[in-house]
Amino acid sequence: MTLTLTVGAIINTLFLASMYILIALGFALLFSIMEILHVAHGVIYMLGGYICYSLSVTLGINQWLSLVLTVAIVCCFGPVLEKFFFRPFFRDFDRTLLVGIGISTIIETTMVLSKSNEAQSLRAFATGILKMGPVSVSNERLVTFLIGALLLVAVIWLIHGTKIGLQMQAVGQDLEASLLQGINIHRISALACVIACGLAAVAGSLLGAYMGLGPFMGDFVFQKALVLVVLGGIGSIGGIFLAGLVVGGIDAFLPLFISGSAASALAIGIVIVVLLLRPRGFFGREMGF
Amino acid sequence: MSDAVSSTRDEKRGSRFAPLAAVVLIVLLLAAIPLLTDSPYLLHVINLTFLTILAAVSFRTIIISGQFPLGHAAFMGIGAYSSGMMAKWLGWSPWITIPLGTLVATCVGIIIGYPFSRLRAVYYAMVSLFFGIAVVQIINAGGVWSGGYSGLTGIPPLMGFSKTPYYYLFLIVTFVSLLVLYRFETCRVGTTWKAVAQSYLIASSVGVNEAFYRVYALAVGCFFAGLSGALYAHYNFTIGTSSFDFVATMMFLMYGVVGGMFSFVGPILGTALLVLAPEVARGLKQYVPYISAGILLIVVYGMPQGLIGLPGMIKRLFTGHRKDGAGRAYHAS
Amino acid sequence: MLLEVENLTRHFGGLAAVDGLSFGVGEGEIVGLIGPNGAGKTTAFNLITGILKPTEGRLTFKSQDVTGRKPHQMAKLGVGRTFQLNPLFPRFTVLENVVASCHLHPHSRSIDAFFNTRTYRRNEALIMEQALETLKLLRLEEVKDELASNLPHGYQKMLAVARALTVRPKLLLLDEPTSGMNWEETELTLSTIERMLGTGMSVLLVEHNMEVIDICDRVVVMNFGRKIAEGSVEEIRNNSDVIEAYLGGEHAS
Repeated sequence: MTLTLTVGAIINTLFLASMYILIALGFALLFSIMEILHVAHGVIYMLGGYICYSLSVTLGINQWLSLVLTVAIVCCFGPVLEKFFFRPFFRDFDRTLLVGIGISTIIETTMVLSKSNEAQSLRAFATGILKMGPVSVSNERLVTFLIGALLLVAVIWLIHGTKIGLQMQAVGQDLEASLLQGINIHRISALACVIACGLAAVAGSLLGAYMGLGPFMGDFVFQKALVLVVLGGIGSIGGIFLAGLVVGGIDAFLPLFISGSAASALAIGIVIVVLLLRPRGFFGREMGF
Repeated sequence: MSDAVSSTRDEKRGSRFAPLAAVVLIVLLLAAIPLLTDSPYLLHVINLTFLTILAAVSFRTIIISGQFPLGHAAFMGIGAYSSGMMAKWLGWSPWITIPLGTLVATCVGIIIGYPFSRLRAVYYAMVSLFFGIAVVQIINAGGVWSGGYSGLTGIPPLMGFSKTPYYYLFLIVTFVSLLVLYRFETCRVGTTWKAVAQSYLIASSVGVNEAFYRVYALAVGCFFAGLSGALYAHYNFTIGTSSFDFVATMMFLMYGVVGGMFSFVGPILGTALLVLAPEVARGLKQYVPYISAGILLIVVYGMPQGLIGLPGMIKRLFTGHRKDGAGRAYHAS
Repeated sequence: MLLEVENLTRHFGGLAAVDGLSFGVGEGEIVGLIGPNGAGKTTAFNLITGILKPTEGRLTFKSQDVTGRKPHQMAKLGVGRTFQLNPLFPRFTVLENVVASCHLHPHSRSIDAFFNTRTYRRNEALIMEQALETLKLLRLEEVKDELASNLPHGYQKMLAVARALTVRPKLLLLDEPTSGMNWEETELTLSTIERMLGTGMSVLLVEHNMEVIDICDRVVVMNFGRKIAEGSVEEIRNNSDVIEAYLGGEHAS
């Protein structure tokens, strides 16, 4: 393998990792930290992309401003999610899963019916190419990477460095003890939902620009997010980081040796083997159920 | 429930023959349909319903043993693709490749069953989900042999191109398969599965090899999923991975929950309702997901027993009799 | 010796939950296993029944080396047990709990079960008979169609014992069988245990209720995973190490 290819693959790893991590952060906040199974994450992500599109392309608002507005709008879904879809079934995974499927189906169907499947995409958030020695990276990818890294650090700081974050962890780890401590479960959950929605909105907008929009773009998101969370382990954002690197690395390097879908198959196969050997993932705690 | 107990329950329920008569009646009605209609489209839809019912019920069979096989549709795919590819590339008769395809699906189920079943419920669900994705990716990577992303075409038909022979075949196969699955569930094997689902610790302490029984359930479920897939391949002549992905498994789950996961008939009812009913008002076809999702949400929020529980709920409104989650009556205190 | 435990050790991470435990249970004997909470008694049970594999040590049952055998194999050899937490199949009725537990005696093959052969029908009828008898023995026949999780706590514990008896055990491990029971239920459990001993069964009993421990032939005392004393009930009661363990460390409930 030539140096160029290797360096290219490494850069690709970083980019893919940041992309996957960006996708997974919102989901991880809810599922990994608080044990709320947020199946509709992909749909929120998709809505984020579409809203940003509507604002920036249809209404002509500056793209970065649109991004901020999109986040603001999507964050409003947070409390709605918490109150109607999570609170009635707190800790009941079967029903949370089913509700998530129900909502996702309804929203996706609505999008399909109203958008009639035209291909749409956002303009790139940044144009141009950065040249670094023998390799060049598009500014768009760079921006995605930077934002992803930034948000990752922000979330880690939130979880481990703030009182709110600790409360979230408490709720996820020991519900009864949290109640006894006087933590307002619903308020914390609602806050987590708001943040998760915001993160999904950012991811949807950025990646919607990069990969194009579609009513079903969220399905891929849910799968990738789930892989990262399960591989990284429940309870650990650091695990997401490592998992992102691992999966990004696999997805960046494997296609150099074998065909695209064979690479995807092998990638999932590796994930399965890892999970069989260590079900709780890299840094996960043992799940109570 | 084990035979020793179901006999006492039937006495309470009254005549054992009423359900039997109803089943016979339904089968006869179904058998009469091709004679009453000209529309091959209707037959086609019912054919697909038969196969989907088989898959949905086999999905529930695995769930009974306490495992959540989120990759179940992949086994339909394994059955479909192995049979289809064998028939297309090796030139073997579908009458041979269909049983073989079913066998392949069953064997894969057993092979992955042992390592997977050792995991606890949630982990198993994840790994099963990922396995389903992996299978889809492997098929997509199959190049010319599996047709890759565009699907496998030119699969030799099982019995020609008219819908009617398939109708009767599927009716018989589905009916017999459902009988088999029902028998499994009501005899001691099913009881043991339910025991393992509730507590593998207690089950093993009374001598049940719970690892074996979980793989057992998986094997049975994969067998019928594979059969369903293989039959589909030689009926539709074309297959694609989009029929066998996570979304498809979610459909089985949805049909089962809507109909009622606690009862054997639940998935049957749910599938029949959600697959057939939209066909009645054809123009509404695109709105079908709304209906499915809507009923799903209603069931999840208000009717934990699914539609099967509807008569019970109505009865409850009139009497003071409460039923517990599993449908057993006890006196409201 | 029916059961011999030699140097049984089990580590979790760096911690030894059970450390070098050695004792035996003879035929027809009832041995008590006591110790403060967290002493490792349930872990010892889990090791003996095969749920956990020992890091070190040996288990001998009926003169066979059974170290590392799986739980269902131990059940087949004649080791029965109750569980302290979640002792029942919650979604089965009382009767179903016992019937479902009659997996080994008599054992029906899948084929027989599926095709409803005469052997199977005979077995199931026998199982039903046995189950009803066991329930009658434990005064549970009136609630046989109640959902197990609806039973009052004491009844649930009795049902757990009923369930454990279905494996026709030579050695029965009871994990705090009378916890949460009132006086009447405790008496009933005690008399049931004594009746079982009469049939040649051996019992290994974890208990906090000293009245129940009184019926033991011998008592093994654990603390911090180790055996700190062994002897008759009298000897244990006067043993200073034992008294120290209970007063100095965590207290029995």
